[in-house]
Amino acid sequence: MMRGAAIVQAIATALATTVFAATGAPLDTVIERLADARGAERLELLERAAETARASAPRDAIGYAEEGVELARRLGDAPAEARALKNVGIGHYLLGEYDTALEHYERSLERSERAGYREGIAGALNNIGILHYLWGQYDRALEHYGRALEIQRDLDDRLAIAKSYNNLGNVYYVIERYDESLRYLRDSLEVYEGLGERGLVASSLNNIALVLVKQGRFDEALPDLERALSTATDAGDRHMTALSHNNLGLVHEERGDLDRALDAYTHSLEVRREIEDRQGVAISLHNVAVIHTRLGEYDRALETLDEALEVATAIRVTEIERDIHLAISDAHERRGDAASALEAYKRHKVAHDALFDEETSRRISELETKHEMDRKNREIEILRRNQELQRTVRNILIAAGVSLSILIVLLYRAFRAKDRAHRELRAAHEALRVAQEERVRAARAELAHVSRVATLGEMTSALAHEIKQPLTAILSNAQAARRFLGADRPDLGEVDGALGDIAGSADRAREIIARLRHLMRGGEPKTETLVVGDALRDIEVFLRADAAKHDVGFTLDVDAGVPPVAADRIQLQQVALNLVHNATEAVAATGRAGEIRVRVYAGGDGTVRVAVVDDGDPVPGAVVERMFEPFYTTKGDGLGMGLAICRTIAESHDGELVAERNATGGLTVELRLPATRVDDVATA
Amino acid sequence: MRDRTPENPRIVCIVDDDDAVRVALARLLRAAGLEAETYASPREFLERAIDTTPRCLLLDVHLPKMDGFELHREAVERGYDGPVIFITAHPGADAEKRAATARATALLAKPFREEALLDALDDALERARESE
Repeated sequence: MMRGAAIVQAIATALATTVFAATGAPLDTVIERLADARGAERLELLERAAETARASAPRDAIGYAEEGVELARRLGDAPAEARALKNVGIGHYLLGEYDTALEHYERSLERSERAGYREGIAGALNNIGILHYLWGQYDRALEHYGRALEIQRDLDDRLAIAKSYNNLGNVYYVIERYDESLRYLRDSLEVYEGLGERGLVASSLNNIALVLVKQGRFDEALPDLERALSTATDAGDRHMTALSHNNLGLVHEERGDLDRALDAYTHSLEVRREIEDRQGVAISLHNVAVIHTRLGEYDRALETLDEALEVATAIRVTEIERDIHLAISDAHERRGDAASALEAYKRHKVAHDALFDEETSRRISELETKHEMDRKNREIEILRRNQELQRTVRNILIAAGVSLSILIVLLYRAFRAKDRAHRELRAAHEALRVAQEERVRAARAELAHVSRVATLGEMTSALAHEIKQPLTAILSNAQAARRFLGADRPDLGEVDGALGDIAGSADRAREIIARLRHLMRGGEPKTETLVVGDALRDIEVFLRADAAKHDVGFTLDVDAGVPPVAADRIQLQQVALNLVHNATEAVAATGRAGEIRVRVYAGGDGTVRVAVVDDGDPVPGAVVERMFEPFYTTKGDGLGMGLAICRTIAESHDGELVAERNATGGLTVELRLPATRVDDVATA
Repeated sequence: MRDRTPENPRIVCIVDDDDAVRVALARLLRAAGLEAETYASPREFLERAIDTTPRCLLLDVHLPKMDGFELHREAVERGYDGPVIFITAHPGADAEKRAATARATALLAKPFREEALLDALDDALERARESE
């Protein structure tokens, strides 16, 4: 019975591990990058942090995931919100807080269903299944896993499919259908091996070994466990390392090799202490103590069990407390202290009953819910009959020729029909409005994209210049290097210098192309918290090249301490590109030396402003009034859409785009965007 | 491969505001046995170079404040009478006309091949020697 308890616990932990398989960058790196990440990038890092931290620090993982839930909701990213909710749940699950875990899984499921996010639905179903499994509701666990597996097969998500196989294998294990269990577990192992998921391979091996133990096939279980241990150790998965030690202990214990069992349990305990897995520590202490008892070392056994009880009580896992009390009772009894043995056995019984009660009360509340629903259905039925009765009475009255009643009834019906028609019309109208908005948004994004590409097209020769410069340098350096190498006594220092400079110039060209491609990209706008000055510096090379092409001076001044804004980076850059391009053309048209100044500063009114100032010729007031209208242009070859689209972009960011004539000639066109509030930034 | 006798160095003055291009051109000239001096701006050239009596000017057209053609004119006014080669990333009819007016040995479009540059330099230095 005691050892049985240890096995179930071990399988449960193996299951948990299948849930936290995510690895990737080490936690430190993620946390470091998190320090100044914002918006979508921060959301992604929070998810990674939650997934990475939970193996060693579930409480921290919950913190990251909870922030992720908030941020995803603000960014309107439903799939990310669902994943973050699931991650909160997993954290609680690892801490043994199963009810809280279930609550979050269910919210994750609901969020995924509403967003049509199928991976999320499958993931949540799977984790809810795990909880049912833990609560011994095996048919429900099978049902949830089965539904998850169906979706995962549709999505052809091999990792998830393997996890479901593993979980199904574990259920069949506890309901003692070992052949089915082994089949599922081996299927799962095969997929994990194919995917190179070492931590999960170790987990499957552990589970397979446990089934073999149940079947009494100890000698077959040993090599599986040894492989699990070395795989887990190699993969640096310490939870799994501890579990493998623990299970090795179990097999040795079953084979009667108590020394090696003690050794293995002690290793497991050490690792679990290091990673502060308190539930694991309690289990390992219990297992160590059981061996001490069997070796006749009762004092050491009781000492160890005391500590185990302390840990188990602190984390309030009644199942483990129950088993520890039983082990204490056993040790006392063997030492010949029947009174203490009885005392411990009573405590065991209390814990046992408490668990039983919990299970019973859950069942009762389920039945109550069912009963409540039946009662409501009956009430609805009575109401319906009442209405029928009323209708009959009314018919009798009609039959009696009470014309007034007819009139009232007709009026009432007409009113109801009209009301319903109104409601339906409103709903249809709302649906139409949503669909239209969707179309308008897509069309607007497409228009912005086309206009952006057109502006870049007008700048082609300036952009080509930016590529020709590094190309010239690369060609000259390459030819110089060949000449140096061809000399009788090659000057390798010169060759080295040439090669280094070639790499540098090639990198410069690559970066320009990357930035250009970024600007050429289409698609729906993505709002993020960004620093306007940084966004402009990213495209400064283009702004400067365009001005230089027309022999126009260019300066970009960014005031210190300008707050960030919530905006689509590419659209913001598009507005700057357009304004500077227009200014360049205005200055170039004067035929004299001129310059453009771009300044980023904080307006006193909670706005962030980008002013593009040119010293072109004076502009007539009529032009300033109309310049933001679609198809209005003063250029021979222009379409007249650039500024109109810029204004639309400004307005879709709750900002504005205004033009003013300068006293000394030329224009100042200013983009004003609302600054992100400080409290938004603190949590963003 | 061209060979230059070290006792008869030909100093070519390169003016280009792009660091990478300037350094690369100077290296190529060194590799071809020519002596090169580099300047990042017209101002730097006018302040420092005139008294080194350059044998040839290699000028970028797009320069800050004063373009390559203007710089050449300024140098001529200050007494320079040697050959000039212009290089530009924005070639076109306008640039060609101005190069012709300046009686330039060549107007090279960036990026150019080694032969184009070294042939032009050969011509230019030949012209310089003839006028000596």
